[in-house]
Amino acid sequence: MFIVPFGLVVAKWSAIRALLDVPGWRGAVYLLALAYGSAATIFYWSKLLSKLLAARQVEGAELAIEHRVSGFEWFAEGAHAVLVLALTFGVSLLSDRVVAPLALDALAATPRPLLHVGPLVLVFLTLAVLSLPALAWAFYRRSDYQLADVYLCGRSASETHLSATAGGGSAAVSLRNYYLTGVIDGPAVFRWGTAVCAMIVAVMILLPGVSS
Amino acid sequence: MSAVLLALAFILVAPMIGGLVAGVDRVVTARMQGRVGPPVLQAFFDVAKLWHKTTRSVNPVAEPLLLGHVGFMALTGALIVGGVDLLFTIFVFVLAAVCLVLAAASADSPYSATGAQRELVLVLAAEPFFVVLVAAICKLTSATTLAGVLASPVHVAVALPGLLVGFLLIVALKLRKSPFDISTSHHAHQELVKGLTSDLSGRLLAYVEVAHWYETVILLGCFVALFFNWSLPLGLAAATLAYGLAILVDNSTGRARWPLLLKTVWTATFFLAGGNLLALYLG
Repeated sequence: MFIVPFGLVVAKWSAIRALLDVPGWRGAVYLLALAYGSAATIFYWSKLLSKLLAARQVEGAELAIEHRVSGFEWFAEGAHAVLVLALTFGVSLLSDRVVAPLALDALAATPRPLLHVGPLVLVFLTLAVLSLPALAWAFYRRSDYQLADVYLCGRSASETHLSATAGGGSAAVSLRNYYLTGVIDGPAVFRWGTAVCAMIVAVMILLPGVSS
Repeated sequence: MSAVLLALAFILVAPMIGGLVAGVDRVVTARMQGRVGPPVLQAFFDVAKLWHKTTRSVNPVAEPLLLGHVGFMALTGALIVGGVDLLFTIFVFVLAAVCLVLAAASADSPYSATGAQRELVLVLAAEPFFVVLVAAICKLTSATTLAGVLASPVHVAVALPGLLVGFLLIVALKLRKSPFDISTSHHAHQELVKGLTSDLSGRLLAYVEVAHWYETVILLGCFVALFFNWSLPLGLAAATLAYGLAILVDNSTGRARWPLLLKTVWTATFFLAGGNLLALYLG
């Protein structure tokens, strides 16, 4: 149940189901926040997976990019990596000692089960997701499998992302991330998001009664 | 009929309906542009041809992800008709869309990667709306499955007009119509060559096409069954009208750009869905 993506999905889905029973405007506002917020998490994870799947050996000028990454980003990514590793090793312990007691305490009075999908469906879907890497390996092993270079408008110069240039030489094709510039004001979202989240966390710590 | 049989029937029949809809779509589009257009069965001929062509993949990851795309898309419809919780099926639907994005992004090429990012923006626009839509229908009808919604005495389309209009906007996006610079579209000429399918060939492209047929049937089926739960013939008539309208909009806004589309759809669906949801909770 904890395996991605269905662990996340089941948790989110259970929360949405619970919000259907929240009366008044609060139910509608929480539901909207959860729906739009969950879309942002899908966006984030998909972008991250995209970058990982597109990873390849970099050389030359592309190596210099790492030196331009700010210390703040290294810290965020490093902390992320350490926490993911810690969670990976400690998932059963955390589940047993933290999540389960918390859930049992919070949902002790729940009159019905939160999970409305048969376990077989979940198991099947999880296995389907896990089988994708195995399929990739199987396809790769096939003798008739043909690998091709990417499409560069007919200007591919090699199989390593080199494109022929107008002057007769060649240039490495490198991709940048795609930001929603002009659609979302990133710095403003960062500023306001940090301030609001810090305020909420502070209120929850200083006034425990509010969060419960 | 048991749930499993219904699910299997969907997996087998949906591509046939989807392919026919795609064929009719192309003929109607051609007539609007003053052309004769291809035969109605052209979509099937195209997929058969793609299936027999030599497939060259840019990496070994793309094909499994595309199999995941078509598989999860078929599974979404199967789960819906099989009586699984509607809210849960939304996430399987999104997973199918994400598989396509990842397959395109894994190519690491300019056109595919940009197409993948723009497709992700579409997911960002559509996914929250679908969650709100299904949650609102579940709350309104007190049902969590398709059979429950169909058995409900509540007229969903009448009670949720904002979500109905929002659904039409989202469907126009999901049917891969205009604009010119969207992630990929049916039109031969667009800004990103063929967007996220630029690096796909042969059977890989056939997977995408079949998945799109499933997606079309799921969207049209949801429109008919979930909104017009009291009268399926009325729902079918409304779906035909809505699809015709989508083709008309496609042919009238060919030069619109994706930021305009995204802002319009986001704003409209947020206020339509949010307003309708608020009214439902307060009512």
